[in-house]
Amino acid sequence: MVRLMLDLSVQNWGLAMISKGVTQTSILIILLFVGCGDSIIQRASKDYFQYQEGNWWQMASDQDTMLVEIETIDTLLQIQCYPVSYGGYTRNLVKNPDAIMEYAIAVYNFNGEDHIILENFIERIELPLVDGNAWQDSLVDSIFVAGAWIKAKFYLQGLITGFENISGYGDVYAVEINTIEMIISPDTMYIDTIGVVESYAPDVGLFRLENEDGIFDLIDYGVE
Amino acid sequence: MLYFLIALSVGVEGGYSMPAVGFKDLNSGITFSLYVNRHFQVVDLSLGAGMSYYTVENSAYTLYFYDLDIGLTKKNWLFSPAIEFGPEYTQRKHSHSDESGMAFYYSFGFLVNIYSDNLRFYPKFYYKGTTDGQTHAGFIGAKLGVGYDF
Repeated sequence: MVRLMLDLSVQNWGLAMISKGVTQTSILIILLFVGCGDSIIQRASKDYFQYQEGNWWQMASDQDTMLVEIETIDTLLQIQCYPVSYGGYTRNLVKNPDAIMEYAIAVYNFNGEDHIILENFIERIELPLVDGNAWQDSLVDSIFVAGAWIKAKFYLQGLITGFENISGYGDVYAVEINTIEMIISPDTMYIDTIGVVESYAPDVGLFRLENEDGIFDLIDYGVE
Repeated sequence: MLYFLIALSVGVEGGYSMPAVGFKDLNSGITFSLYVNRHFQVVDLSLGAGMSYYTVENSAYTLYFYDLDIGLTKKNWLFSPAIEFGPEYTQRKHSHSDESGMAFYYSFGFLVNIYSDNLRFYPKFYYKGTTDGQTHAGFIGAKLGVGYDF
């Protein structure tokens, strides 16, 4: 009898301890969740590149406006590309699971005739976006024209410089992209350097564009 | 206390999971968890810790979830509902860069209890939702678990 009472007492004490433990654990979980204030699931699960024909983003700087839009899908090197017009300047982009690729072509004109030195896709943005990630890619090729070797080089360096939470848009990533294009012939060297910072918002796409013409912020957009 | 301790059961689960809501670029992943379980009033209550791991086409990127959970099941039912919830530490790694943050996860599904003496085997099928308060995403998965009742 005493043994039974002792067992019941211990059992009740054990259940009381469990009940207390569950309550404390639940409170801890709620506090942890309320205190986290982080959008890690948004950054991990959302699509930052809304490439679909007809999508558009209206951008504006202090002095100018620019319409970025996806034109009719094109096929280059047997790969379907999204021609993205940045206020009239078109980049042909491909969205792969591991990267946004850009079509690159270097043409050498000799005696009024164009010769393609290099034509391929270069990795523009490595995916998925993660703060601090850096990448680089290059394309090099040459052709023999009129007794001389003509060489072309493309270099691209990219860096995710960070993300910030923008009210109404979520965590927006900033991507710094620097490209160098070189065409080298025996008597001349052409070098073109371009540096841009593009910011992307989840389920929206392009949010900000910084280039030599200024800083363009998103004012309206239409994506499907 | 001895009664309390010997009334526990312990177990391990492992399985396969794939994105169902969000995470469009993720491939499938593997998931693994350990738990202790005790009958409490009308349910079997478990406290556990788990880990899930996912990859994408880019092999340099990995996504990890580490969670602590409270689970509710009915061990004496052949077909038992299974509910879990708890905090989740999420880590994204890309080459040498990484991001991390806390989220909250919940899971619901069912399992089939198969007993052999003190051992309990069960296949488990579930949906696991995870949220950071702004975005919800989720996975469906299947696990195989084994538990031992002391």
